[in-house]
Amino acid sequence: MNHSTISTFACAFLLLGITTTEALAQNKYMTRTGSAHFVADGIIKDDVQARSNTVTAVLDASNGQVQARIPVNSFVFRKALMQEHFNENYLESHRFPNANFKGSIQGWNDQMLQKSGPQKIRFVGTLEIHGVTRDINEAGLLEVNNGLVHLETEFKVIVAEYGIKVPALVRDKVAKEAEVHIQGNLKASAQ
Amino acid sequence: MKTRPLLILVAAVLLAMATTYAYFRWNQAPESLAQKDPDFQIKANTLLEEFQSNNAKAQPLYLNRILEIEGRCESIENQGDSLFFVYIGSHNGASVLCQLEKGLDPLPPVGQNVRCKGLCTGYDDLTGGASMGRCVLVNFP
Repeated sequence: MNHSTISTFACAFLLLGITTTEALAQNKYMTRTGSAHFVADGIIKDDVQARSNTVTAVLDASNGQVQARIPVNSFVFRKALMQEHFNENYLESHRFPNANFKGSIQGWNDQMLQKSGPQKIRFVGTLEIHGVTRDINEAGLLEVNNGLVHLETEFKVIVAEYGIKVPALVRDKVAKEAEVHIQGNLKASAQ
Repeated sequence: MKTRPLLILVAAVLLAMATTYAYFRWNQAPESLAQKDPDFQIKANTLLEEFQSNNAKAQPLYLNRILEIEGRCESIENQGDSLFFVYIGSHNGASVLCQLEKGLDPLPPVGQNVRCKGLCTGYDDLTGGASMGRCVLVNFP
């Protein structure tokens, strides 16, 4: 084996290595700046709504598993007192700092990332809020645009099911069901 | 008998003042952290190291506290609509994600050392990073 053959093999292995690494890297898609918005206005409208823009979401394209995390105290309200009560009394963010989703996209196959246009999907897994974990199965949307994987879902959360107690004084201001909308544009990740 | 109308008037004025105060207090927007003193001043990489090595110890210490971190601006993300994010420091491939309270012009150049004050929203175990909200860059530009 002469020098040029060895060099050719070395280059081929190097290229193979790089290609494999890239393929592995493409298996995970991630964002740390997804958004979550909820509205929980009761009978008496008082603008009970908040938004977080630091939602982390990870999609494993090899098996369709999805994990998402929302820092509870990242929700910003229009009213400071409402934000304070949300963190200290209702969601107790010092004890339960995150809301978490762990699960997968139902019927996942990696061809879903090759299709163009929005695709209806279902997220199946567990949602943990306020230290209470419950099974969920919610409709969502997946769309690939310029290499970004857009994931989106909208669903209702029954406040009492997650052990969140609303004082009688404000019971008419806070809805029993909060409407939640979560979305993110996930990039291919090297992690 | 003459004092009775006076008492009613005083009570009405006090009630009106209390109602006005409660109304404004209830409708007050969250205040900026720009003028607040930080609870901790810490290097971004040290913060990341503490969270990554012992989250159970670091979380109660830093969560919900105002932190002033210092470190290298690793990247910037501008999502429009005044949504600006600065990634500061790097430890084991993760950074501190800081969501700015409002847009900045100019934004700090990548690679420059910056100081950032914000509310710590905790450790992100999915990425190994930490995050802060309502952030303001200190002494910038």
